[in-house]
Amino acid sequence: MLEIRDLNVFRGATHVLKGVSFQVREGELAALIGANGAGKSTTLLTLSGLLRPRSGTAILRSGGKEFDLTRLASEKIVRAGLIHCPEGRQIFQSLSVAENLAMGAYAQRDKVRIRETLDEVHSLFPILAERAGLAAGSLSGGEQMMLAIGRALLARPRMLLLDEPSLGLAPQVVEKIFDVIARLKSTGVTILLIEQNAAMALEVADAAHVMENGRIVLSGTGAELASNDRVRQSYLGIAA
Amino acid sequence: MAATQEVKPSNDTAVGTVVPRGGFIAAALTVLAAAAAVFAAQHGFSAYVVTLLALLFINAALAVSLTLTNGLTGLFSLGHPAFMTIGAYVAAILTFSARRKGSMLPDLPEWLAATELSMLPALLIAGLAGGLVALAIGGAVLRLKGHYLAVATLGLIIVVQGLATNWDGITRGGAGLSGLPRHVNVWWAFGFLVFVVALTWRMKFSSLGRAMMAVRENELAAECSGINAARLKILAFVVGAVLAAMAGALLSHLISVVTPKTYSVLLAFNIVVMVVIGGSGSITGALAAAAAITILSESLRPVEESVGLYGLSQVIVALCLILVLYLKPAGLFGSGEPAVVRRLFSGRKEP
Repeated sequence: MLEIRDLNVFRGATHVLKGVSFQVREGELAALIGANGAGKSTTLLTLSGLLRPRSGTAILRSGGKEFDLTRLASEKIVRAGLIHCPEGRQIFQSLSVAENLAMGAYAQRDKVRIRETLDEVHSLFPILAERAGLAAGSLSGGEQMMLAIGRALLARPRMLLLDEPSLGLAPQVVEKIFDVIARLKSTGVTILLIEQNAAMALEVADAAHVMENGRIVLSGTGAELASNDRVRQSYLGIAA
Repeated sequence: MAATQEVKPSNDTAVGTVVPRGGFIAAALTVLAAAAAVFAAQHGFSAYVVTLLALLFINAALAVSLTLTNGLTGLFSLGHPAFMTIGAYVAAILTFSARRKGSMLPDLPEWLAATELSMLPALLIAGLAGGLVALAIGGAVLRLKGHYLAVATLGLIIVVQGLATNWDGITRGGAGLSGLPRHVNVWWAFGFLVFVVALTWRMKFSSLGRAMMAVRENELAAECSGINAARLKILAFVVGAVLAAMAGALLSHLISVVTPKTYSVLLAFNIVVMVVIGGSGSITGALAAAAAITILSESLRPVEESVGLYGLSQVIVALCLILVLYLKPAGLFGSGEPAVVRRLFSGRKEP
């Protein structure tokens, strides 16, 4: 579904991604784990067209077509079905919950399908239906995260990029978010998940990649990495 | 399925475009009532009051158009006077009497010197000119954000002023163009205001307007939702500029003069104050504040003269601004429209 090859990305003078390559298969839940500043968010921003790489390719195969993500404008990437749910609950604070969700469907034209998707999102997160008329900024952190995910779902993703959905949330809320991620996967959405909560991510992931200093240093299935000594020591906080 | 058929009204407002039928009738009735009031004022009051009313309408249209650029899209542009000046000169050159134009403006090309248009085509061409200039500089200027954009657009005022002052073969320099045909009366101003309010209202409550607000709130998230933020910002900037240029053209043909200094930084300040006091993004707020400030500064003029304290009205307007920012930082109406107005004109709820 997604094939990244030898991506080199600079932010200003800093060489952030140094030849990153990996693949995400159709229907897979892939996790990208790593410490702060390893380049995880930069990877996602590059995939959604918000940053341009100096070199390398990123090909999305979606709906029988191939898209070169390193060339395509970000709004066209959204139309190609790759939806980025950015880090830190980037919601539209002073717009209402309903308006935030509507923004997710900005690129959609079929009103009946928008309505259906909205109903699906409301059944995943009933709180968003209850709070529809409230300003998004008045929601709690967990509700804002649900809103951010709900908004991404309204864009009808074929592939979803989730950047740190558990950041700063209470354990029960994290539980809930991961439940939803698992349910999304079961509906056939391909997911690339960034997490600092490596234990949680490896538990649900089919495949995982460990990023250090702008390079992928380890790849494997979630279970393989969870039992890998280096990962256990560095990311799971378990002594070898 | 029954579950999917169930439609909550509060959700319905955000998804899909709203075509408010009842709202249209209410709007038409309001316009008719206002027109009747203008008609009554035209026959019951002095020419001075009627001109003041026209001035008020144009100021209100300016404030509402700035609401679109600054309020909805969050571009802190101070460039309105620059576009007004452009619009005013373009329209003035087009409407000026062909007999006098040749000798007064020697550098005009032959065909332009021979042209003498009526107000409507001149107005449209003026708007087009303002829009084209905004389009040309928008790509560069809109890379800047917040204060930087404000400073750059402030610079634009100076640039346009400099051009108007020094390109004297076409503009008559610092003396400006006086004796313009008085094509514009209170009805032109009223019609323009109705046009600007209707346009802005339609834009605000469409998915385009929501996308503009999304860009204002969070550009990154907006782009993640598939919005081309750069193009949308240019669109808002250009539409604002077109309306400003048209307002400049109208105003000059109301007061029958345009000089490089007619539309200055001070005017930019006044319009921004109207938008800020009314609430950034609120059309009702911009209308109310524009009316209040225009009436306030005009009614203070005799006071200024009798006390000998010129500039008093500016001081009071500035005080009002500080007071509003202190008591209601989001402005009188925030970024929404008051419930009554919303219900009347769109038959839908807005949070």
